[in-house]
Formats: sequence, C-alpha cells, structure tokens
Amino acid sequence: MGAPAIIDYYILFHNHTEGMALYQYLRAHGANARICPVPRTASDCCGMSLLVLAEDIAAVRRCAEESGISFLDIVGLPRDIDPRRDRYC
Amino acid sequence: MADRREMWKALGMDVDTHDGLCAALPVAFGDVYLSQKNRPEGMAFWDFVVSDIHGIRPAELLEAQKEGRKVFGTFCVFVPDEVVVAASGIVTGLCGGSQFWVPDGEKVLPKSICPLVKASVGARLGRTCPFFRIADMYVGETTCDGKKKAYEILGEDVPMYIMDLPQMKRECDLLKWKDEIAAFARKVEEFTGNAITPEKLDEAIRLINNKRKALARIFEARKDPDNIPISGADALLVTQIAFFDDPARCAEMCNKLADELEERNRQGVSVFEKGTKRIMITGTPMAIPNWKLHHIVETSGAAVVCEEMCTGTRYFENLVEEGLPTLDQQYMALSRRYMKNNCACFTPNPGRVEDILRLAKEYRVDGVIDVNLKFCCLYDTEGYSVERALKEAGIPVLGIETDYDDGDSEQLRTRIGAFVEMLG
Repeated sequence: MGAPAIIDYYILFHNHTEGMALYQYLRAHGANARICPVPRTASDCCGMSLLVLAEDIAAVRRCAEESGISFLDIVGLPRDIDPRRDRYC
Repeated sequence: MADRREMWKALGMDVDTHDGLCAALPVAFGDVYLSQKNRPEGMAFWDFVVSDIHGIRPAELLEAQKEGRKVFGTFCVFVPDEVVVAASGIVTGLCGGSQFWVPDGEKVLPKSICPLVKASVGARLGRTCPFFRIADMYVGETTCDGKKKAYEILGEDVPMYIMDLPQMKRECDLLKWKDEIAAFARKVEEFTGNAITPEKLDEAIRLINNKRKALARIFEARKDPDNIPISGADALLVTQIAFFDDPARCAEMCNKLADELEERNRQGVSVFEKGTKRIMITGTPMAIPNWKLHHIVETSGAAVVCEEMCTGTRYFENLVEEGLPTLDQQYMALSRRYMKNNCACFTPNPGRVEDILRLAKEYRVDGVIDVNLKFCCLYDTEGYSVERALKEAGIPVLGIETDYDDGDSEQLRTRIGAFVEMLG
C-alpha cells in the first residue's frame, strides 16, 4: 500500500474580488494561501481559487468570519501537482 | 465562481471548445508554478491575473469600450503603444502561445509556419480567445513572412492595419519608420476620433517609459551574481502579462515586485540553491501560456536569469526621449527607440549578437540556450551567427528548435539536462 495522498484544499468564490480580498486578509494575518486557477475537478467554472493545506483550513474559516468575506465552497482534492508531467496548455 | 460564459457567449466565442483550454490551464499552472518553492510574495498579483486570464482583463476592456474607448490588438513589440495611448486607446496583446489554438490555424495556414502565427490565427478563426473578439482593430507589422501572409487571411475576418517595418537600419530606414508611425497616428486619430497632441503623446511616452523602467528593475534584480530572487518562469509570466495589462498598473505592480526582489537580494533569499547554473535564453518570443522551456530548464538543475527575446529584454530596453515639443520630433524619437530593437528581421543585424554578449556578462550566465520556434527561419538562420559568437567568447551554448507541442519534452529534458551537467 502506498502512502495516503496529500489532500489540497481549494477555496472557491462567487467572484475574484472576494477571492483576492480573502487572500490579502489571510496573508496580512499570517495565514498561508496561494492563488491558482480553479481545478476543473473542483468546479466547471474558470477563475481564481485559493489553495490551502488542511492545517490552514481553520485559519481560513476564522479569517473569513472576521472579515465578512464570503466564499462559495472548500473542495478537497488529492494533490495533483507534478513538475515532471510535461503537459502544457 | 463568477461564470464568464455569458460574457464569452456575448463575444461570439465558441464556449464549448474554449472550455478545453479552461480545463488545461489549472494543470499546467499547478505543475509549473505551484510546484515552485519560495516564490516572491508579489507574484500573487500575476497568479491572480493568470487564474482568470480570459475573464478579468477582457471584462475591463469591455467596460472601457462602453465608455467609448477603442481597443487595439497587437502582435509584436514594434507597434508603438504610445501612439494608441495618446489617443485614449487601449493596447492589448493577443492570444498565440498555446498548442490549443494551432489546429484551427492549420485549417487555413500551412503546417510549415511557426506555431505562434498558427496559434494566433487559430485563436481568432476558432473564436476561442476573448482578446481577439474584443479588439476593435488589429495592428500588424512586417516582421516575418508568416505573419504578413496570415494578416491577409485575418483581414478577411477583422479590420487590420499593417505597419511596414523597414528591414535595414540606415538613416533612411529610421526616417521611413518615423513616417510609418506618423501614418499610424493619423489612422488611430481617425479611428478613435481623438486628436493626438504633443502634450498627450509626451504623457503617453512617459507612461510607457515608466512601464519599461519597472520591468527593467525586475531584470536588474536578476543580475545579482550571488542570489536568484525570482525564477525564470515567474519573470517570464510577468513579461507575458505586461502585454495585456493596463500600463500604469503594470508599472506599479512591477515596481512593488522589484522592491521585494531587491530586498531578497539584500537578505540572500533565493529561489534556487547556491551554485545553481545561470542560463540565458535567446531567440523567439514565448507568448502566454508558453512556459515549456523555462520549466524544463528549471526542473533540470539550472535557473533562467535572463530572456533576450521579445518576451524579455527586447520589450523594455531603451527608452523614448521625453519632453520633445512637436509631434514630428516625437515620432522621430519613437522611431529611434523602436529601431534599436535588434529583431532577427533586420539585415545585417550585428546588434543582436552584441546584445547577447553584453547580457551574458551583465547577468553572469554560465550558459545560453538559443531557442527557435519551429519554422521561424529568421531566428533559426541567425542562430548560426549567435552560436558562433558565443563559442568564440567561450560561453557554452545549446541550440534548440521546438514548438508548443508536448511531444519533444523528454528529448528536451535529455538535451538540457546534459547541457547543464556539462556546465559543471
């Protein structure tokens, strides 16, 4: 049996304004997050999402509540980042 | 998420086909950018833009059009943005950096044309690029035979204006290019309904110069011999997006990033381990989202520290003289600046070899990769002089021909890996 897959969490938003606002709030409060396009397996819509690790989810929820910035969903997906895949768009 | 489909449908795009690109982008972005460690915080802005590349900026352009402003789509660094900006127009780059668009281009073009041209035509005719749907006018130039013929095909579908770029650099050629710029200015005035005055043109010259200075600061930070504060893939992304962004915002964000990179250099914060080999890439442009070569180099034990290409130094080096009182003098100043660009379309073109040797020293490179998009005979042929000069200067060089397809990735990894290993 292989090691269990690492789960990456993607925070989805109603619009990019809220996404960017939460990103800035998170970073200003020392929480980790990275901006990236929404993976197709997380949503049919194109646009930005925030990528966070499991240990950062609580901070995301807390920051969203504190700031009043809403998000649409948090979707967990097995990590699918492979720098040797060599599949470009 | 904000669903962009309604906007794309209203633009007449083939939304279902375009969906294939939307599905591919997150995977490629993840592999190239999310796999990097210790990226500058300032890259968040460019991650944000690229995450919604066919949404955010197109929506801004549509808003500007509602206010009566005209959008000019351009294919090349020779079209003087200053002229468009002086008439309250907006310049945008156009799609052309993905294999996704190539098959639609090959429906009307020979396969033996470079992928950049095929992808540009395919993006327009396949209706899968919002920028190609939004622009009110397309401005081409005579920098390559493939584009010249492609414009004739595009011209059947969109309003095209072609600037005739001289292919030599004699004084008469500079005067000829000045006349071309003046003629373009008249066309822009007529098309926008706005007069270009010396005051407005000077303001536009300063604006675009500021953007160039900001990009130059980022590149300046990459010259640090002891530290690599930003990956080549990130720097390439910044340059690629500069073709699309509002120039004032571009300058502001680039200056912020440059501040961070300069601080990283002071603190010794590097993206790569100490001793990583420094590579300069020369050759044909890499339009967004063409990240293939940079990514392969940077996952093969080396770092890209400079791009001598249109999506690199050729985009921002040399400024236009500011403060000139008449349009005639300003058009000449524009001509002089743009004709300093050492594109391979010129003959003879010793300036490009001089640039490459100078940049190799300035960026302290360990080796150079001279890359040509397949079927670009100009850069491919000039590769002979470039590679000879580098060898004579004792700088290791690897010549590569590639295109957008993933098919040669393994071969590239083998060749680049061996080249990096040879650097010691």
